[in-house]
Amino acid sequence: MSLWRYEARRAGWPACLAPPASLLVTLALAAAGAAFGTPRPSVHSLLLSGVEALVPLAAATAAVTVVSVDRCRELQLTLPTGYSWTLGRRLGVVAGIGAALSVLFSAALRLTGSWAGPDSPLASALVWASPLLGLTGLALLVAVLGRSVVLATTTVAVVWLCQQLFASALIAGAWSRPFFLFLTSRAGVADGWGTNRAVLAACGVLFITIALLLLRRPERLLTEEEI
Amino acid sequence: MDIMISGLRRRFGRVEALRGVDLAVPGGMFGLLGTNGAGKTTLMRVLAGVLPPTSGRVLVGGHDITTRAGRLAVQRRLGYLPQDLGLYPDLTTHEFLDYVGLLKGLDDDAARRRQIGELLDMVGLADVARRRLKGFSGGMRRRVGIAQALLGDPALIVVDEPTAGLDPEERIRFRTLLAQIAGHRTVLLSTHIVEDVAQTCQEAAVMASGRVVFTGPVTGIIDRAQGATWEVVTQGPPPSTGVVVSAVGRPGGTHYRVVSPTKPDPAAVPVQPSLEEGYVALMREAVPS
Repeated sequence: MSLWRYEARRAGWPACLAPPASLLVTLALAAAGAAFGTPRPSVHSLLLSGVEALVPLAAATAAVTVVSVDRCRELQLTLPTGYSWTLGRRLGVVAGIGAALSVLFSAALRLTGSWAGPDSPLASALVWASPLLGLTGLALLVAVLGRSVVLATTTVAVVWLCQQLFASALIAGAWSRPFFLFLTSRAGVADGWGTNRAVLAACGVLFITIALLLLRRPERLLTEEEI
Repeated sequence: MDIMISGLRRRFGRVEALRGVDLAVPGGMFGLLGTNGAGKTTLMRVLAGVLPPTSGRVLVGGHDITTRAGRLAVQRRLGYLPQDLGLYPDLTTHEFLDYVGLLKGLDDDAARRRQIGELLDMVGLADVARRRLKGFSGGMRRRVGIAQALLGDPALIVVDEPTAGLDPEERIRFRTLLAQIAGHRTVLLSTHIVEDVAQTCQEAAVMASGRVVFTGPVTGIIDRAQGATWEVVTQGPPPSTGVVVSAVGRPGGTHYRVVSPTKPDPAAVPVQPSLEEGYVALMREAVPS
């Protein structure tokens, strides 16, 4: 337990606070929208975006920081506890916070009648779990391959932003639809929703698996400056 | 814990940092000297399991560190102080050591805390045990570093340039600490500061351009400059032959100590060489300018 507490501190306050902060922003925007007379379905979609779009973004950027920044990396690589396990614990903290908040937020939306997602509890979890896995997995893989915060953060931001900007085109395309991160909040639980969630989750698992395989040689995380 | 290295090579892209290192390190305090860029840090990192070798064989206490199992076996008995030890500034000294202790597998809370207390006393940081590491001086950081290296009572301690950048008082303090901890352990001290080796080690190796160019007793390094060390007193320019190792201005003229295989000046007189002069002579042989 002590080790988990230390790893939570290593993940850092920004990493731990980003998901709740993103949900607070969602709530503020939804409140402002409601105050200015935005129709209820739109406000509900906005609230759903909190768990489907913003929490995954926060978790993905936090994952980049966790993998790319460590002041004691060289020392860590000499310790008998494998560095990939250490990183795994830190990422677990980040993902755990994102998941716990998403569950709580979803439950609160249900209780207040503001939930615009699927009814079944398992499907509800896939609203946030699939994009969380997909985007965090991508962030992790690029961070391990590129060894650069800027490269990994930019990649995540570009993917997230492009999907937001070109949402209509991506939803309409038969090949792009399964990879669209925000299908629930943008198009509802429509045709192909299950496939979309499964593909996103599978991509996330694939990215994470590749990253873990690469981390079997954790010295690859050392930057040129560190070498 | 003895170390046997044979034909060790490590390449970074087109640069070959280690070019076939052969070295045997017995127990006790062992110095590794060399200029910046000689390959010392790369060798330390290979020994500590940070970097895998490109080729060659490295046995540490009988464990082959080129295998995963061998590397883990060595890391269980290793204490490592890297050249640039970045600490976690939000942790206190005690918390940092506690965290490293957990990662070293010291799971018994009471025993771990007792050991941390003893080590903090030993390195003179007991008073700042509850202070955050942020704002620690270079000397204090190195002492935290050596304390973490000693956690778990390792049989092998690898320290890379531990006194670089420290003021003279801290350097002496740190050297004394290293000599104190050597005892039954193997301590591998990598440095470019000749004085550190002179004061703490009986055995040493010298590296140049990715190779070991000397290994043996420290006095063997001094011997390399026997008959090739001169003192020249002049009011004119320094001797153009050989390497000027020191220059002291005095009323009668400047006293130069020069390492040169031939008499560098008609007025030059032979003198007894120091370790530094032996090192200079060795480096001249190894890397002719």
